[in-house]
Amino acid sequence: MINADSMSLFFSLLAALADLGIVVGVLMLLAPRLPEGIGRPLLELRALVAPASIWLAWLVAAVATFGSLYFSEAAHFLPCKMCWFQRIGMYPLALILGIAAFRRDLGVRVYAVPLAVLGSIVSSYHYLIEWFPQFESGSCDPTVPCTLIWFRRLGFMTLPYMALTGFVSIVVLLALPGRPRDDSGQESSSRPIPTGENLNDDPVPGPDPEHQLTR
Amino acid sequence: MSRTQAAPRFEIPDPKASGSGRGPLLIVGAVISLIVVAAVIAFAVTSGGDSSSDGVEAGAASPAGDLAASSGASLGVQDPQVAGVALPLFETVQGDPAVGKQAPVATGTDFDGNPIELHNTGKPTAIVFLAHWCPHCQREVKDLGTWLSDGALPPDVELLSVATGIDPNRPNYPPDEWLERENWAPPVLVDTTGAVAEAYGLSAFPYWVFLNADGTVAARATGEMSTDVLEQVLAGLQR
Repeated sequence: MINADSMSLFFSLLAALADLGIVVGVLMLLAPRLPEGIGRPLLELRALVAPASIWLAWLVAAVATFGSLYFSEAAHFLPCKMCWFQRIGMYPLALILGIAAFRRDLGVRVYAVPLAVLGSIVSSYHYLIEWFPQFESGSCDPTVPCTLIWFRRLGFMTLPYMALTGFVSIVVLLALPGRPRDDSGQESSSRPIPTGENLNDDPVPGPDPEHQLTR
Repeated sequence: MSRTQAAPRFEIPDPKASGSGRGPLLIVGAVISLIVVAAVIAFAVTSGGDSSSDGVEAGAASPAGDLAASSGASLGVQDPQVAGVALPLFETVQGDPAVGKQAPVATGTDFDGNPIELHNTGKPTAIVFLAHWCPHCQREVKDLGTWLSDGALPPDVELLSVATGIDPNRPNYPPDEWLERENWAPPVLVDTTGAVAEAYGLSAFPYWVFLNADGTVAARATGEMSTDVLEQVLAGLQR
């Protein structure tokens, strides 16, 4: 039966899964510095996951957005001020990561990572004041203070914790494909601004091929 | 432009080496299957019996942010009555327009149904408004409890409390069990409807209203109050 109880457990399980993914993802990023025996399989796993990373990041953002809307619209948990700032970070990600995944456009990282990093900072602070309300202020808003905890699963899984997990896993996923390089080994992030002539040559510019994921 | 197909772009094994273009699809599919498994587990666990499952500290939903979403019936007490002119909504301590005004008189009951009246004693009175789900109120009650059990309350001052913001869907409900657990000694007026809080201009929890002996407002404040400051304010009330 779908109710706030089952949904909070569902999203807690997903958050735990994502936490596990974050640990594995960070290990994949560190793999070149790990001993051969561990590093090699991690690199192979990374090579397998990296082409799917934007789809996976989009999945995280979409599920988080759905969860956020479920808890506010169906379960009627009122979003507090800090919830709103986290929503501002997460909701656009569900859209732009979806478009980028469809276009295989790794360039989306320039836009998505700042959103996710800022969101994770807000989530961290929100989670902190859930445990230490005195850091926020001395009083509670009469309607919906940010220190009000709607549910705390397994002793630590609250809504800002889940949001933090979502943001961090998006950052880790987007880091997996590594830095795109051109043939000379230079980072290709600074490209010349296209001139009008170039635009005429290519009236509908596709995704930047330098940033494209391998098919 | 065609060079992009040539060199591997990453310092990791070539993704193409690990299989066809199905790799990403398989990964995404595996993750989606995990999500489905999580859903099945979550619904199986929570539908088995009506138990509020382990580790959950709070309940379901709150329909709105009213001061009190509940009816008094759930606590088995009568709704309070308020007489007199309501105080303006509290904004700041400095230049509070309520200072010097006669406070409204609220009558109701405590959790056991005994009648309680806010400020009829002819003594200087401190009233603290508490919401069971507010973490700052929970800390304030703990601190005040210690302070009271040390006998620090001046004998010529009355300390009254109001349980307000009552909402069965929010954490730490019901308030009477919370206050009993904390050995809360002062009288408690149960503000089932939120009308008392509104009449006193409550704008945040916890909320303090200090009255002189003649029933006029001496000061109002929001937030946790240290017992040092509290003692100073109480000493300054007109006897």
